[in-house]
Formats: sequence, C-alpha cells, structure tokens
Amino acid sequence: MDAFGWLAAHLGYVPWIFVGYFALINTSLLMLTALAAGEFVAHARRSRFHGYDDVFTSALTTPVSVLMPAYNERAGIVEAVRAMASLRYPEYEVVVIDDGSTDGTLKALSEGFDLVEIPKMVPADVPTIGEVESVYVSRQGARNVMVVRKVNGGKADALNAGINLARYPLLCMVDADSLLDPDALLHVTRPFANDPDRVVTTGGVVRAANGCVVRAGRVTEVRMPTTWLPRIQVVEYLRAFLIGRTGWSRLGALLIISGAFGLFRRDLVVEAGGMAHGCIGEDAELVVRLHRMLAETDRKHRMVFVAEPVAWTEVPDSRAVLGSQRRRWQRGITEILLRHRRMIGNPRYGTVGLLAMPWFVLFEVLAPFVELAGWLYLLWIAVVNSLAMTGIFGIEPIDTTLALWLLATSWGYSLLLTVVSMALEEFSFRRYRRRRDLAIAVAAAIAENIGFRQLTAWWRVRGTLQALWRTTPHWGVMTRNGFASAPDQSAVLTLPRQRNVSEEVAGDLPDPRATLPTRQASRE
Amino acid sequence: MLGAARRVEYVPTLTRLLEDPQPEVRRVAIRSLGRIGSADAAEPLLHSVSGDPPTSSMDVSAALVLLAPDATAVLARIARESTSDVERAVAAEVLGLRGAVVSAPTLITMLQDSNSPEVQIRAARALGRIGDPRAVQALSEALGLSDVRLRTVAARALGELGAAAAISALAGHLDDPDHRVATNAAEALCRLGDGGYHTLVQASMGDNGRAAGHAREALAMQALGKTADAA
Repeated sequence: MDAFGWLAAHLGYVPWIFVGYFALINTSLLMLTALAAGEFVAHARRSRFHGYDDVFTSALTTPVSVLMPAYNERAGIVEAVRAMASLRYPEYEVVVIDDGSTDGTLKALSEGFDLVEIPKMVPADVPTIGEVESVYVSRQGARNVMVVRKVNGGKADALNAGINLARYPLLCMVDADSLLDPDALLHVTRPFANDPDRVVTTGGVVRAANGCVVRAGRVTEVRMPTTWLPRIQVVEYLRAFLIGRTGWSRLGALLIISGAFGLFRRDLVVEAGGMAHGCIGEDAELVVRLHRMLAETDRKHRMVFVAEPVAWTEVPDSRAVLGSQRRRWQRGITEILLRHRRMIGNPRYGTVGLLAMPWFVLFEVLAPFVELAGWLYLLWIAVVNSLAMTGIFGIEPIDTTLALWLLATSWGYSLLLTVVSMALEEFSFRRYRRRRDLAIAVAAAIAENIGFRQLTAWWRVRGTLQALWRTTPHWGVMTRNGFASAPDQSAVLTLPRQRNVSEEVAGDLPDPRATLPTRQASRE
Repeated sequence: MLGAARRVEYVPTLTRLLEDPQPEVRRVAIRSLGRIGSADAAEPLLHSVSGDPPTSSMDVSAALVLLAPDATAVLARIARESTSDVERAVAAEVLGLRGAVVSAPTLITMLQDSNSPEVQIRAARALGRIGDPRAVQALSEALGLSDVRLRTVAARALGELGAAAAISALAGHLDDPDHRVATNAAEALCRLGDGGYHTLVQASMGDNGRAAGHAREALAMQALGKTADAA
C-alpha cells in the first residue's frame, strides 16, 4: 500500500514528460506535413510543364539500368520483368540478378525470354561475395533484358553484381515484386535533368498494392485492401512515404530512399563502394553513406524525393510477418545510426547531421520506448484508480486530466496528422477515387490506435534492442499472397497465388529492408 | 501559348522569360523558343545555361536542336569563343545532334584543346554522331587520355564513325584497365566491317585473356544482333 502511495505521489510529473514528447514528435511531423503540402502545390503547378513526352523522345535523356535482384521468385518473375522491360523511357536496360534461387527462377526466365548465355566480362567496380556464374540475354523479344545468375550472397551482394554489370550512368534499384507505373522512370529521372550537377539520387513514392487491380504487371485500378492489417498500412504508407519523405526532401535532409524504387548515379555508388554487405537496411545505409562521402569531400549535392506515385508493392497481411518486418526496419535504422554516429549533431553534414539524424534518434529510435512507457503509465493509472474505488487500501485516485492530455497528444494529434495526410493525398493525386475507399481509410486511421500501434511499438523496441545487443538477425520465410491479375474488366483480386519469399516490403520512415534469405545472412 | 503561335516576333518576349525566377516559366519559355525555331533564339538560349538562375541544359539542348539551320553557325561560334564551359559543352552536344558536318573542325579543336573534360566528352560524342572521318586521329588520341569517361565516349564514337583507320587504336584498348573503355572498344570494332571483325576474332584467340574476353563478348553480342557498349 505504501509503495502505491509513494508512486502515486511521485509520479505526478511523469505524464508531462509523455505529453511533451508526443507533442514534440507530432508537431515536428505536422511541420513536415506543411512542407510536403508546399511541395505538392509546387508539384501540381510544375507537372503541367514537365514535358514528359519531350523527354521520352529526346536523345539527351540519360539512360538507366534497372536492377532487379530476385531470389526464389519463379511464380511472378516473368510477368514482373516483362512489365519492367516495357516502361515508357527512351533508353534503359533491365538487369535481373538471380541470387542463387533454388525454385527454378532462372528456368522460368529462360523460357519466358528465350535466354541465351553470353561470354560476359564482369568488372569488379564494387566488391561481391557470390561469384557470377553466368550471364544471359534474350534471343528475341525483350531486347533490353539481361539476366545474371550468381552464387547466393544476399540482396546487397546481388545489387553489387548488378551495379558491376550495369551499362548506364543511372541505376534504378527495384524489388522483383515492385510494380512501376509506366511513366515511373520519366518522373524520377526528371530531377537529374533539371539539376544535373547536384542531384545524386532520387526516390519515388512506394504504395501498398494489396487490393489493387493488377493487369500485365501494372496497377490499373487503385483500391483499398480487403483486410484491416493492410488497410492500416496503406494509411501508414501515405503518412510516412508520401508526407514524411517529401517533407525531409524539402529540407534537403532525405535519409531514406526505398530499395523498392530508388535512382542513383552509378559513378557515385561505385565511388562509395556499392551496397554494404552485412547491413540490414542496405538501401538507407547507402543514402546516408553518400551524404557522408559527399559532405566530407565538400561536394554540393541534392537527394530528391519525387512525390508522384510511381511504385507499388505488397504489404504483409499477417501479424507474424508484419512483426518480423518492423523488427528488421527498426534494427536497420538503429544500426545505420550507430554506424554513422559521428554524423549526428555534426554541422559538417548540414541539415542531415544537425536535423535529420538527431530527429531519427529522438523520434524513431526512442519513440517506441516512450510509447510503451506511456501505455504502462496509463495502465498504472487504471490500476490505482480501480483500487481507489474499492477503498480497500485507502489510496487516493489519480487525477485523470493529465492522462486525457496524454491520450490527446498521442492519439488525437496523430489521428489529425493522418487525416491531414490523406486530405493532401486526395487533393494532390486522387488515387483512391471511390468514396468507400476513403471511408475505409478514415476508419483504418482510427483502428490503427487500437492494438496496431502498441504491437508496432513492441516490435520496434525489440528491433532496437537486437541492434544494440547485436543478436543474430532472424530471416524467417514468409508466405506472400502475390498480386493477382484481373482477367477481365470486371474482375478484381481473385485467388491469391502462393509464393514463398523471405521478408517483405518497403515501408515506414525507417525503411531498411533485406528481402533475401541468404547464406551470408544465416551466418551472421 | 506564345510557342504554340510559332510567331517570330514573340522571340524577344520569350527570351526575357529565360531569366524568370520561376523554373516552370523558364522551362516553358525554352520549349516555346524551340517550337518557334528562329535562329535568333540560339544565342540567348545558350547563354541561359550559365545564367543566374541557370536553365536546364537538357531542356535548352532539346530546344536548340529544333532551331532553323542558320542556328548552326551561331552554335559553332559560341562553341569556339565562349568562356563558359557549360555553354561550350551544350553547344558541342547540340552540334552533334544536329549532324552539323561543317562544325567538325571546331569540335576536333575542342576535343584536343579544351581543359574541361565535360567539353571534351561532349565534343567526342558529337563527332561520333556527325560521323566525319577527319575526327579519327583526335578521337584515337583521346583514347589515351586519363579521363575514363572521355575514353569511354571516344571508343564508342570511333565505332560510330565507321572508319577502318580506327581499328589499330581500338584494338590497343581491348585490354584497357577500365572495363567500360574495353567494352566500347570491342563494340566499336564490331561496327568497323571485316577489318574490325577479323581483329576481334584474332584477339579472341590470343594470349591476352582480358582482350580475348572482351572480344568474345562483342562477337557473341554481334551474332545476336545486340550491342553491349556503355553510355
């Protein structure tokens, strides 16, 4: 009883810490939203004058090498490559890197594209672990497709092999299951044309494709998913990808460009040493390393996030897979911040060092810890007040005013943020055209606060602790539903086809991903 | 609207808009000047790439390509005389895209004398596009320079020239330490008729493993009707 009384008396100031923290984090997110809103207005004004048709027909357009690492993607690889090889762009190649698949991915590609092996010289511009065993080109049909078969070495290693074999000055890194809009390359290469001296990398918006109608490897109709877990992630993606990254891009402090769709200058990637082996979030790590390299060599640079929706990917629809994904993301961002900790708060690295990285430490790494503590505090109030009502221990009830403030700052504020994000999306891009979808999105924004956020906080805490304790990462195999093609105009997602791949999909602000279960990974 | 009207009298107005602080306005002005096609726009368009604020060199190049034939002389003069490397680089690029054979001597001089790698690269690329065999010597010499990007472009340009005189220079770079230069040299030899083909066959059977590898790759790609060269 005394202990309860003592705690009740001395924890009076604690809620203010939570209130202050959640007010700060949500206010900073709201400021990012305001910056994003400015960018969307500018984008709406600019988009009419971009002249993508001129770019498409111009001999001056910089050629692009699209790198598609694949591991055990037999079921959907042919359709995915075919869609990728038919984008609207004047000169580009698709380099598919089969990272030692065991399910017949190469055989499917060989049959789909009539592949023939060529005696390809493989440069060693960036280091690789798994040896390139063979290189193939299509004898007929897809003239711009090259397939590389290599010994399994992980996603970063597969990308490094692709970087070595890429012919063109711009590298576009995509996942084997990314679905790109036909004009995606035209959109994300535009900043390179506008500011060729300073733009070093661009990233496009990645959205959840669950529930969408997919025809011939293209999203032809945007719809909300049919289950709540993906629906909540749709809302999350809007807030994190579209709003968060657009805001950071406006500040010149973009830290994450998703591996599901990012464009990089090849010469700088080679200079930086390629993708880092043994890093869970290799895509985000590359971006931070490029920031660091360019700042340390006093080279002005810009990393631009393109707000136009361009890439679609499937998000997890089971709690187990989602948990695994979020632990990895959090672990990845923690490891990156640890690896590049000398940049944090260092004015040499400009807004990245002074603003973005401290923000990520305070509001990405610490946030789940504070959030869980906040929930524990609310639980404590509930317990104390319940006991006070019984009158058995003679303790006084705790004033719940502060607890309501806490809920308002953590729930109410974030709900407001989500609704503003959705309104911005609706105003700028209008991808979800059905009123029913918008109603579902609002409901998902509310439902997010009941269970989803608490679980996510727990998974993220575990991810950070795993990074700090350097435990062996878990690369569980998951079953994904895949995209179902609509056979006719009326058909929507029908029977999901089963597909085994390892981990998942692009996501939230900390977006480090590693999609391939590898020998290298299992050794870590 | 001014561009769509295609009236020459709008050129001065659009020229002033090249200095507008809004990038969208500058972009539309550039495009409109290209559509009108008056050679009078060549000089202000070129100067705008080094202006404050600068215009997009890609947008300007695309517009300059569309201008009337008289613009070629203006471009060649600016390529020779401008003190701005950006302007000279864009002028060289556009001369190549316009296939301006008369400007080949100017481009050769730029390739040989410029201190700017970017100007040299654009001049080399332009010479390849124009296809004037007088450029063989300058491009062959460029193969021996230190800038890897220049060597890569020069190798490709020599293939585009289609001049058998380039065979020995290209054969010497089949084992170039830079992969892209060697690939482009092999690819260029594929385009040089029987002489290039026999050189590749010989190299593919030779003792120099690196040269043999690049030769085999180029021959295989040629057999498949594909190219392997790097941009």
